[in-house]
Amino acid sequence: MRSRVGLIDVEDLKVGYGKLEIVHGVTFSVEKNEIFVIVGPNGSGKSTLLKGIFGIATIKGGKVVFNGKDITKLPPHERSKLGLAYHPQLRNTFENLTVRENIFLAGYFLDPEEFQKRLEGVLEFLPEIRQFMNRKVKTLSGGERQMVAFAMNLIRQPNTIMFDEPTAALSPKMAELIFDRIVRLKKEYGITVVLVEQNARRALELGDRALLLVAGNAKFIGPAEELLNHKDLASMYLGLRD
Amino acid sequence: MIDLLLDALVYSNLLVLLSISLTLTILTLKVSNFAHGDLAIVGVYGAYTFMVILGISTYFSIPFAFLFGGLYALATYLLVYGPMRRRGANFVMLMIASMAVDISTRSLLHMYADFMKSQLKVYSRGFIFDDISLDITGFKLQGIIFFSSLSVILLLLFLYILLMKTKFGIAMRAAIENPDLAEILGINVEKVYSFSWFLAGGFAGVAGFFLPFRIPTSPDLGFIILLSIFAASILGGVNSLAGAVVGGYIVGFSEILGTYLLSQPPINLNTAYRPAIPFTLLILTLMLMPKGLASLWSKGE
Repeated sequence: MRSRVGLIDVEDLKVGYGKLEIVHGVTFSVEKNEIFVIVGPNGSGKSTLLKGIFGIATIKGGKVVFNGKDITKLPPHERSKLGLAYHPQLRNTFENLTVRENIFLAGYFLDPEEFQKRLEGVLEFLPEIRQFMNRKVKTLSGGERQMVAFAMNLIRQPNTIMFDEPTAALSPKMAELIFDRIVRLKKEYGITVVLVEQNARRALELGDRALLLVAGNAKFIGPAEELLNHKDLASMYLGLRD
Repeated sequence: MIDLLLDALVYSNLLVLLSISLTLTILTLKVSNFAHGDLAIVGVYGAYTFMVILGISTYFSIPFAFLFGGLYALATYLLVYGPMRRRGANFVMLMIASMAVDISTRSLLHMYADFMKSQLKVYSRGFIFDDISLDITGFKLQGIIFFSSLSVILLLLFLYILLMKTKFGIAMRAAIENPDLAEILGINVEKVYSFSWFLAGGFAGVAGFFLPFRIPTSPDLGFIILLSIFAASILGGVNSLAGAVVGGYIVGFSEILGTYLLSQPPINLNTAYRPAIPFTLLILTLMLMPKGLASLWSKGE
């Protein structure tokens, strides 16, 4: 048995939906306080892999260890209690509720004083939210919604956040804002980030290490910079060329 | 004419409670619940039983109607719909299950009616409640007009405060809109849905309590009023609680006033055609405004 050093240890993980297997046995570790980027062509199973780690897609084999604890069979809300947070790509907020109610629900288990204290901290980190606190989420733009989902995770003070394509369908300016906050999460709060991104170049530039997923298999695991500069892999699978 | 309007008000109050509660169950489970009318009848039999056993005055037994309707709805959720939902049953499966629940419920009510007749020695089929006359500062009013309106006001107010102002209510709205996300956040969705069903059953039970003041009540009455409940809920937009209130009043008033007007010269139509009115409203809504009245005030959702 190999020694476990990572914060998240994924071992020969197979994930799918129903009878369909999409991720065919992937092994990697995410270290504490790094930005671990998962990239790959469309349909390669990036989102499914995240869902497997969080427990909302069916795990068909292998295991997931978080902070030394085997969480393979734990339901999502139990994983969330351990400090693991998940930022889904879609439907990551309650549209018919106000922004305040959304954040309030994310901190459902907190007593009012603690909630207020944490809310101040979150609003300092995401000051943009202040101006639409009392609006219903369905009236917000895509970028604003991503920020609400971001805040909902922060109020729970996780030690790890897994982002599933947080910049999909956003304007370049808004996407850059989100990237900026993700980097600050790591630098200022020491939060570990797992980032699934379709903007491979940008993600690899700010990531520490990277996993290239192709058709459900790992093609590369190593420093993000190396993948970014890898002539074959970067051009073949990520459409990157200098 | 005043009497007719007051009659329509009472019937509408009853429909509002039933369509609100039907909407609550549809919001949580996306089930077209054919056993919904039966909840009202379970409520009224529960209230009737305690009225007889405890010898309390009619209107004091309203809480029993709420309790019995609520508990029965909760039981059907825990035993039938909840387990089916967790196994991924679709809309059609749930609908067929609700037909089975309807048949079982009515059979149980028939058995209970026999039991009630033999043990409590009271009429248990086609029974009616005697009303009391209230004297509010010299203004004579039938008890049912006052109490049915008061029930609607209090229950709607309660529902509004619960959903908008309390922590549990916000969690309810969240679990209804996006159960997966609510689950991830640690909200016990199963508990929230169970409570919603209890509440829905309670509302239906209270509505059922008012039936015997106007209509001789029997175990099958729930199925007979089902059409009007669905008409009210669908006219309101199915997924809208506010719509259910408006829909309930429109269907209720149309049904009572329409039946009266059609039975007068020169048309002289038999009052047995009464169900044609909610049925017509239902068809017109589906054809002209499939998203119901709620689409008028929530554009672009």
